[in-house]
Amino acid sequence: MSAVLDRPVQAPQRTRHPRRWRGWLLPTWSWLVIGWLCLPIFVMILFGFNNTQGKFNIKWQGFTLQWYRQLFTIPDLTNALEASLSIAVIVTVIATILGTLLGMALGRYKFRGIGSVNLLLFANIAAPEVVLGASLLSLFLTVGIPRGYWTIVIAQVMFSIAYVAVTVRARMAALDPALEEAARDLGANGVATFFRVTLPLLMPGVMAGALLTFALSIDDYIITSFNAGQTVTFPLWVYGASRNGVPPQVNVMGTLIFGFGVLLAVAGAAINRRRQA
Amino acid sequence: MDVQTAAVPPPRAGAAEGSEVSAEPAPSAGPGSAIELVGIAKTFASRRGTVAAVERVDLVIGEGEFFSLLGPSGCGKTTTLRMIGGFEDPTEGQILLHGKDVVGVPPNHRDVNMVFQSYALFPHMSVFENVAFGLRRKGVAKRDTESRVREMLELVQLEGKADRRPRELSGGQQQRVALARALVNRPRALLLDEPLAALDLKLRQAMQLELKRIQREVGITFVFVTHDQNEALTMSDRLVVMNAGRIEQLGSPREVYEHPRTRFVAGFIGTSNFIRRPVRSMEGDVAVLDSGTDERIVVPGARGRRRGRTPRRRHGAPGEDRADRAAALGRPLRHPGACRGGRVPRHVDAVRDAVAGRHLTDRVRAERGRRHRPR
Ligand SMILES: Nc1ncnc2c1ncn2[C@@H]1O[C@H](COP(=O)(O)OP(=O)(O)OP(=O)(O)O)[C@@H](O)[C@H]1O
Ligand SMILES: [Mg+2]
Repeated sequence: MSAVLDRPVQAPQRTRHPRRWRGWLLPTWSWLVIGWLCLPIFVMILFGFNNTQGKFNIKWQGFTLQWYRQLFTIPDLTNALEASLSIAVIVTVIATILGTLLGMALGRYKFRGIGSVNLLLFANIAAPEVVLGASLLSLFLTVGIPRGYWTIVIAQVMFSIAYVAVTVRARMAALDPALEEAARDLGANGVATFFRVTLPLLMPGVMAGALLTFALSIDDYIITSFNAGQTVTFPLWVYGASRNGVPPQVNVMGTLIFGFGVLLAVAGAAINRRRQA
Repeated sequence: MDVQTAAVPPPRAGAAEGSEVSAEPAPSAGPGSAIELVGIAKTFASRRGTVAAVERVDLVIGEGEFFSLLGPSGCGKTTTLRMIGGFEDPTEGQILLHGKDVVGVPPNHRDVNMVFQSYALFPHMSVFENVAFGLRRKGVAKRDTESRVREMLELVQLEGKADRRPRELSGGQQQRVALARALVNRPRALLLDEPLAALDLKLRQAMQLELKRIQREVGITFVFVTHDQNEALTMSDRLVVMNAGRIEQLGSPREVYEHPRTRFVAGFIGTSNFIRRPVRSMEGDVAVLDSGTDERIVVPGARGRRRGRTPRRRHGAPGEDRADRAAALGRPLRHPGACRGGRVPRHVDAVRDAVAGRHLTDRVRAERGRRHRPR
């Protein structure tokens, strides 16, 4: 009986001590990390408003909106952005479809070779991009495919599928197979079951994979640079320009892409919350 | 410890009607059989060869019956149910739904619906949409769908919850949504796989009554899987006890409870102890056993064991007399000549109901004195 009475008295004493330093250490640390992560983004956004005069946009010279007004005044940069955006959309669509199907198979079924496929996905994600890019280039050279827009698409689809497949696989593995059986039981055929039950339930995983693919595609430099031929994408153009000074329009475009990405992520989260509510 | 068998209450209220103690004939499936399993077997391929989940099950379930499959974990109840529902194909045998062989017919073309153990409610749909799912797939008119769903939600007493998501409901409410979602399609049989297993005791008992009420109201055949003997005994019209992929006994709850046909059933049903004692005397077919103390153990139906091997088990054979029944009980007798022609057995194995305190005749096994090693 006394043991029962003792416990609540002792417990707060034991926790009070650690709470004293946890009280400030954890928030401080968290904010430091968050600040560290956000700093480059903040600098990028800020210097899109910099009233810079020379070629180099590295010193703060006052606030202006002129770069937003003159966003599309550099034709090459505009073309590069267009190429990047259209490639990203195409790659996202293809990689999301293929990756989703692959992830569903891996998350649900047991089949011969499932281990090797999983290993392959892991290898694809873990392999250094330089290696992937270079080996893909030698493949294109060997087969004799001219490098350009479509080889970029192929290369990016290749490395994006794994990311989609992995996120969908996790989602699929967590999905109760009885849900699909219930749909069949209630009279849905295979197609109706997929579109009304399986796909909606996999959607968070599919969307996460798609967003990841879009982000990876739009800023991929290494693999793209190997397989781009004469096509210039946004990152390739920026890298080329960095030797002579990057124009502030790049910051503005970066800001807009970033803002778009944040918007998508927030919208996705909101839809998810509404669906579950 | 001197216990008699007469005037013992039935296992649980509602388990069986009638006040007779002796086994009533199991209400047989009758002419309108809803589900027939003919020599059903199912083996799964596994890494180490094959697993026989169900071996040669023959079963006839009648129209409008509340029928239970009872058995310990892994005995093949779910597999049997899934074969009826169309989620597994039997390796052998036939499944007849209302006289039509349905082996190979996919679940969406079978006239039965299933309530899953996990309920399997669609989490991205409201309660209403969940219940309407089946009707919409069948292209039922919008207005009819609406009214049938409302009607069904009323039946399971969830009128006010139509717009909720499944996760916003309690376990019992979810269970009722699953029930409504299946019943709204007016299936000719409803398959329920341990639908109450996830509920706490109190809710489970409430839902047992609820299920019975609903079954009476809609008059549909219920095939109910459970490993809970209380549940099976209280709710069923008839039940089978399964073990290791086979049927051990088929009958009414009272039959199975009072006259377990095999040692397994006796051990599984009720809370019972096996007792083996020397026979002190034999009065009619009642054996009086020496308990080792002043008390006597009285075992009815201990007489009439035929010599040699016992006949094969007979399922659902109604109206056997006691001698026959005793003969039908138990495994092959290894001690021929034990109680032939009214000879008094030396020792008797009795099953003693640990709750009611009375003796159930499971098997009466006599042994020669010399071979008997006292425990
Ligand atoms: N898909 C499967 N693959 C391999 N073996 C299986 C499969 N499904 C069931 N089994 C095996 O078949 C046997 C019967 O399984 P089943 O699920 O029918 O048992 P159950 O009576 O429903 O048990 P429980 O009360 O635990 O649900 C078990 O030994 C199980 O391991
Ligand atoms: Mg089961």
